[in-house]
Amino acid sequence: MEKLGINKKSIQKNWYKFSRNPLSIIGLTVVVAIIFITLFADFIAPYPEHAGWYTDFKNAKLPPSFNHPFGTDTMGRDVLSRVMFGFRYSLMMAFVVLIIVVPIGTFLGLIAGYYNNTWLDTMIMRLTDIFVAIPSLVLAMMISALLKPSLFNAMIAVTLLWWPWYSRLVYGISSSLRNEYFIQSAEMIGASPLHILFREILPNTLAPIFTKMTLDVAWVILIGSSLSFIGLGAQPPTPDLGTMVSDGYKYMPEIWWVSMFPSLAIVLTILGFNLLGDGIRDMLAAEVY
Amino acid sequence: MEKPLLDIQDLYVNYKIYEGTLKVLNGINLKIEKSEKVGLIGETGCGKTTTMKSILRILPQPPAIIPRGKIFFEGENIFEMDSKRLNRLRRLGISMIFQDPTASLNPVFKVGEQLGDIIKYGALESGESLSKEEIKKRSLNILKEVALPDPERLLDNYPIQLSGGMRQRICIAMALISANRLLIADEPSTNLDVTIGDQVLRLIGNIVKEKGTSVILISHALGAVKGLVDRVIVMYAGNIIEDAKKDDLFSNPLHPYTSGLINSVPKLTGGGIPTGINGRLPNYIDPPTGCRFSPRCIHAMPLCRERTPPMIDVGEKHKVTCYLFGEGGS
Amino acid sequence: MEPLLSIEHLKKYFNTERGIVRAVDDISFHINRGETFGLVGESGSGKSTTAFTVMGVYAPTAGKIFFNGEEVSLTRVTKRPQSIKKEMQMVFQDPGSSLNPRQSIKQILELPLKVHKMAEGKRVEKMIELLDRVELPKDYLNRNSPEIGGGEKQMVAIARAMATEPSLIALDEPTSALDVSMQGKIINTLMRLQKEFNYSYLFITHDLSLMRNVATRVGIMYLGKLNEVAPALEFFHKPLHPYTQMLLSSIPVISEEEEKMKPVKVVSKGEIPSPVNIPPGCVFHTRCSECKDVCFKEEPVMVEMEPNHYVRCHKFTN
Repeated sequence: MEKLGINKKSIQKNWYKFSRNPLSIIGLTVVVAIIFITLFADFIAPYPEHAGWYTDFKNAKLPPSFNHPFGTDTMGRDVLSRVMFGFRYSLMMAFVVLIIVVPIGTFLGLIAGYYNNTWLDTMIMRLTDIFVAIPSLVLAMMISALLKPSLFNAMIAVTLLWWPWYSRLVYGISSSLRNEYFIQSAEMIGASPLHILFREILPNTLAPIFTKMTLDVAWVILIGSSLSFIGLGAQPPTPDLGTMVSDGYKYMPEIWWVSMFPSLAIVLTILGFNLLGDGIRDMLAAEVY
Repeated sequence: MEKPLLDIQDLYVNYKIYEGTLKVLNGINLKIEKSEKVGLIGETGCGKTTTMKSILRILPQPPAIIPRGKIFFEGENIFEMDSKRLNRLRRLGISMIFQDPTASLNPVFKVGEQLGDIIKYGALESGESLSKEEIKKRSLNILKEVALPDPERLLDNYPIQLSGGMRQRICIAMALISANRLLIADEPSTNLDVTIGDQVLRLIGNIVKEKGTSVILISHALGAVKGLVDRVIVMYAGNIIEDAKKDDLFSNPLHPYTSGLINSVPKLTGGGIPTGINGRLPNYIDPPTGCRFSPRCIHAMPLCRERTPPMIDVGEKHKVTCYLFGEGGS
Repeated sequence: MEPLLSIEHLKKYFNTERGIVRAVDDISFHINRGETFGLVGESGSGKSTTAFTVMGVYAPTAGKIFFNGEEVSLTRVTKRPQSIKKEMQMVFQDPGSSLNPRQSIKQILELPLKVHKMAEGKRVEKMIELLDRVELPKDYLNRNSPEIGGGEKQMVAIARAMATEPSLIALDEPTSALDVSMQGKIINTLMRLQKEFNYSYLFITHDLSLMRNVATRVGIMYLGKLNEVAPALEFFHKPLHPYTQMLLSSIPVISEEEEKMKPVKVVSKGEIPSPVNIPPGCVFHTRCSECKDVCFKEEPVMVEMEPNHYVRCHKFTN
């Protein structure tokens, strides 16, 4: 830990910077709560079996009550339990997408930036440009439609459209750092390109990457939910939040709870991660003094 | 007796940061008269820019806090001015030239537009509404005053198309439009080449002579100041430690820091590299009690560590903040 | 004795959208062992570019570079052999960006030792010794670079430059970004270490008073050309080239004796021409008060006016 410069004093100082804005604390709380729910849904959901194949038409379309705080949907399933499990799929998608996209995008951005103004740079960045030029939802729909609609394929689609943003972010930093004196010095000393890329440049890109990742969780969830909403993502009976909104919107406004609560869950997740991301950005920002 | 143009009284400025409160300015007292040319010397971090920004009230508050002090400009307390009055002051009375001319000019607007804005709003403040032609005419005039070649073409250029010296002269032009009474120049020639910087300083000198404007010229380089000013003020760690006529200061520096500073400059005539002054600027969160220079001072006495020395008059407009020259107040 | 570094007809041109910038245009000089060769000039003169080209930050466009008698290939430093890289190191102008803000001092100093294959066990000892040379305590190893002050950062940069025990160190305005009271400490450290380890310095600064006191020999550049080279005392007391005289006469000095030493005030006329539009003939003729007809047409050649005192000016050629 000491190598990364993390010690008690720096944790305190970073917390101070993070917590100056009360909204960041709200974001952190929301995100922690959502992660908790995701991990322990099996134990805290009142009707965990409702998350899968389950029908109980006698108790279908019940409005919110003590037994069912979020009501029941058209199949008789408890909406609250399904929403809790729904977080799981949303976060899982975000996790899987980012864990693939961030390393690949970062690596490409690093080398394109360090070798800028060469064919390598041109090749990578123009490829990036191509992917960026296509509207994200359209591209995701295209890919999803080509493959069989499923949660897994939706993740592939979002992964393919997400990586260029990281390579652009890192390219910007890498290509500007490339001419800094400490990089010239490393070259003069004789350090290998690998050392320069990963030990000199990369550490300077971590802060913006980390901030972006946090904010991206929200975006990926939104895109994923959008895909599910139009039927290209998770299929029934998977309690994906977007699918749940889609199931219920035909019944609006009379049976409003079936769509409303999943929608609110999506909004809450996005808001939470955005506020958290803002807080992280404040924390990692360079100080004036 | 006529009121001084600028009268800073007992100014204290703190900055609140995570680690604590930086007690930067430690009681600044400064009077500047009309048509006076003053040089302000001090090292990076001694508080000169903070002082100047306080005069214009452009210190970001927070993190800056002003617990004590008054600044009077032509008899009015700047801290008590409402925003309308303050804007008027900034548009017509005082102006500042910053150290980096590139950062002072907006890169996406042409020079003509930036100059034009200043002229327009300055005139509005006086109740005049100017036509486009009139604004252009005044822009050209001011560019000629700062000896810029081909002013017509210059109005159409973006700052990035010009050299450092030209940008700085445009900043001076912009400052001169609104600085009728006081011009604050923060290291105007530091980022420029010696020959161009020399030209720039001469220019400032000529213009203020014509208009009778007072100047505060800030620098950390002693030589740059010498050519232009009549009076020199030396700051250290948030205090003014010496204030004298230019020739007096350079031939007879009294404060140990001033003499240390003058001796740190390598001489053109040779003599090797002086060793400089031992030690560093104090920690502003926990500054030394008493005289802030005492930890580094070879003449330090026990009294120096107890109380901050007052500014003592040693005659001939020469003031020193040092117990070596007396104990009483002036 | 053979000079340590010998530069012959060095050129560095840049291709830009506005045309070719001849940043360094056919200059030749040499540096002897243990001496400090100073390069002065205003912005756009090419002095920094010269240092960067010699050190390999830029690949030279043309010319020859000899180090220790061996010819150095005209490539960027990354393509030079390790044995040459080890011998030539540089200290840059801005201490803030000379050190990686995300690294500790230990990591920064360890890199050259690691690259040049020093045994791992011996490294810490060497790093402490390096810090000791620049009078920094050994607990600085654990600090991060943003935590220390500008002067100290520059000391670390100097320690790093010395880590591979080079013979030549280029210093590009090492104290320009620092206050005058720090300057003395750093320059004195450099001079002391030079005596101790027999370093040769390529020293660049625009501060002529400083140069006067550190350089053995001085060269002055203008728009990519080298106009005058002389031993330090002669350069400052008997400057021959009109540009040298112009520059020396503009230096801001404090004392009377310095003022008397300066050449008669030559008011600098006009701006430095754009590097894309270099004037024909002698590049300085647009600002020169002693310009003659021939200056518009022909470039002057370097002649030796006094022993070791070279100047390029039509005043001295027939």
